[in-house]
Amino acid sequence: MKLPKGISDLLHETGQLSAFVIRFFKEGFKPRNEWEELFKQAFINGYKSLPLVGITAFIMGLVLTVQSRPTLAEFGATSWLPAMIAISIVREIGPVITALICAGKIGSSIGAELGSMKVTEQIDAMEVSGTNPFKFLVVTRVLSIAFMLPILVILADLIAIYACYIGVNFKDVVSWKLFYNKVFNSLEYSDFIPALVKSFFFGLTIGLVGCFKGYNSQKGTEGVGHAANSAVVVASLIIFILDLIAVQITDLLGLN
Amino acid sequence: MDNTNIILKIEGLCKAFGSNVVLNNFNLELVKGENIVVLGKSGSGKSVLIKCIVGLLKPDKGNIHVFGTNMLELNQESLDKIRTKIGFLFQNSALYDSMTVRENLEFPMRRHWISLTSTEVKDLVEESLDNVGLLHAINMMPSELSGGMRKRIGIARTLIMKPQLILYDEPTTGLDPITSREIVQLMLDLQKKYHTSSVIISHDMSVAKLTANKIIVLLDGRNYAEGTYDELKKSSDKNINQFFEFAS
Repeated sequence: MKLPKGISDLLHETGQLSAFVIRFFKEGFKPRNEWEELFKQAFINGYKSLPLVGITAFIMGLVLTVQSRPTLAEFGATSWLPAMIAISIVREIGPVITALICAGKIGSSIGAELGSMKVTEQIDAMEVSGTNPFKFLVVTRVLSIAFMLPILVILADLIAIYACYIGVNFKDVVSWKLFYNKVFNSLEYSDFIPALVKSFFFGLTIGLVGCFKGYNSQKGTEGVGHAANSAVVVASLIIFILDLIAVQITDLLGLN
Repeated sequence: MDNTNIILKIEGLCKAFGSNVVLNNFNLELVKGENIVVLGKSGSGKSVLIKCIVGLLKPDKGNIHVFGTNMLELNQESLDKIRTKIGFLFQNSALYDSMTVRENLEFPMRRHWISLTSTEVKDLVEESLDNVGLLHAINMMPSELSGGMRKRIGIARTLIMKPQLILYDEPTTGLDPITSREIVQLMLDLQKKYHTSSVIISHDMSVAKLTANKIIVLLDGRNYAEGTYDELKKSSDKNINQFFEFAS
């Protein structure tokens, strides 16, 4: 039986992506370690993403607070606002929104960069010089994002919570100390840890999909554009699927 | 012929992409200090041939011996080791866009000659750039270089590992005649200095005339004709003549 082209292409790409992921884990443990490139990529993917992530987190925290307030006010429960916003940001909105922003910013940039290197034979040039381009280009980029994303998520959470404090003070007068106590008394380690663990996997996804799309880019400049675009689309989709799986796992473990 | 002098030997090489047969029983033998030009029209499989030599593409059939070692039987580690003795100049030079000229040249050395001190690396980079007359471009980015400069830097990067065999993929494509001539002269000067052997892929007859000890005409994936420039020029075969007609 012949499968429809769309399905067979999807299965083919899934197979290729799986092989790419397996190769990443194999190459990741082999010498030589490209520390210099790893730190450079961590700087590019982490530090340089901070302004965008920070601004988005600030707006996210503020908007969420302002829009939630009327509903809670109906029940006379506005004092719950800091705790409610903090829990939703730390558990869900912070990791997912930060990951989606990074999928757009970092995933597309990696897809385009590696795609362009592929079509201009720079990856081949590395290979013929006896260097392992996979280790130098892919492993460093993927690891840098996987380790930097949880850090970005923590910073985004803190910025969003501070924005919530400002939002709360639009209508009420709440001291920082009271707000701080309300927020951190409501949060537990079981809110932070699963969020950071899933952020690590979101980071792996963004890096792996971006590198896979760029590394296997074809058809010249058109292929580079396609690699950048599909890196964002596929990574975003996988992030949502992983988030769904993470919720089920934390529920099974009794952490929700 | 003394076998120890054979740098590269290709026997019965076949490569197809789907139903498109690119190489069909191609043979080549390159001895030490020799330059072979593989001449062929665009799309005739010339680039596929050198990518097979260096292991970027896997042939369907045949053998490739470099320095007496069968390239098709090597594991990745051994292949990487032998690749350090082979230089490869890409058609578009393939300089790493995100690195300066210095970093481009240092890149292979830092990975293979890890015992070198920073001063030794610096001296080798400067020597290599001096050979191609571009020492002043050491801190420039590839995007700031002209086509001819990129090609020269590409040659410098190829030579920095002191290869014994150099594969040139269309070394003068996209260059004006004066720059082309300069690049060819540079290739010859560096060959004299470092005693390298070369396979030069080209459709440019001026390159063939100036560099080739032997020319192989690649047609329909096989060795259509072989000989020196003068021998082939005298040929009455129209497939060979067309290269010389357009050159003149």
